[in-house]
Amino acid sequence: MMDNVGGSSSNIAENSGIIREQDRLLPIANVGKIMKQILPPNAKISKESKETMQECVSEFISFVTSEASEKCRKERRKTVNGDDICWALGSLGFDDYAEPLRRYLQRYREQELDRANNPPKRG
Amino acid sequence: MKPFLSNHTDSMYNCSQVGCSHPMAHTSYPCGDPYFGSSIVAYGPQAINQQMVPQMLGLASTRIALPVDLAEDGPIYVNAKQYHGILRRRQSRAKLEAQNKLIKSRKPYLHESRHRHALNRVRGSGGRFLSAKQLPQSNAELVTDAYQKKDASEAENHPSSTGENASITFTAISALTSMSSNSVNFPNMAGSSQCSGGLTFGAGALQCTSVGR
Repeated sequence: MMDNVGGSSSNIAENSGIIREQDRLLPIANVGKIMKQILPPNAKISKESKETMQECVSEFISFVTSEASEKCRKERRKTVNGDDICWALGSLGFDDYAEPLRRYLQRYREQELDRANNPPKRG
Repeated sequence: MKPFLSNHTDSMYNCSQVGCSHPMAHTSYPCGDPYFGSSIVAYGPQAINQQMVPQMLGLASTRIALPVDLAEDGPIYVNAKQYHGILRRRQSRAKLEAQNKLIKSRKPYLHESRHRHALNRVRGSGGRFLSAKQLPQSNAELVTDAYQKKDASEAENHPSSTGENASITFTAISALTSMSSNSVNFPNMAGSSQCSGGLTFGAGALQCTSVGR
């Protein structure tokens, strides 16, 4: 019965606003590739590991984004930007991650500025 | 699903917090057994006093117990900074669950058309897909493969319900597995991109087989 209900939900996913798997979770292939980067070349990762990591990282993203969104709500702003994410990481106790992310955000903005000043020439 | 995810999330955050902190902070966040929560709380103030050094003044080292009604095996202690965030996320997940918006079970594949395409691909020894380069080397096998594909196509012409579709899927996979067993002389693929592609589809097939068992 549970499976049938799940099947029915899947069948009418587009109509009733069901959050599909591909909308709720990161793609499992991308998660596997990121996990592989830190392992030796001959290491293998089970599908169960990738699925577990999929759930963990997706929940972590929602966790941090929820903290940043709460800050924006209090300040009556509608857009969550990179600074809010860095602040949220610090606010949740992930200070070791907030500082590298600030540096990344700074370099990212510099690159965006360079791209704006030097637009690619059209052929 | 929900209790497992909650516990796992809490454990993950605790481990992450402890893992990324320096040794002094590690002492400030003991990962004790939930049944010794009261003891940890008792030792908390003394531990703070013992290591009250200037660079530690800014760090929050208290732990707050989450509501017991959501944890079936006693209180779970979390980082005080994350307390409200965890409660907020729990409410969000509970709301989605109440609206039945979360898909409970995972599908073995996301796209029907891609799944059918994968079923029609030729497999070599070990179940890996054959690349375009290796197909001409097996003209005799190609005839057998075409016959197999014809059977698979006929089977796929009658997908009426979820259960029926699952049965068809398992039947097709069994046929493909038999074909793979017969094709023992195929060389293994060495290209990294080919292996990557094979792994992607092979994983799906393996999952179907596991479900069958």
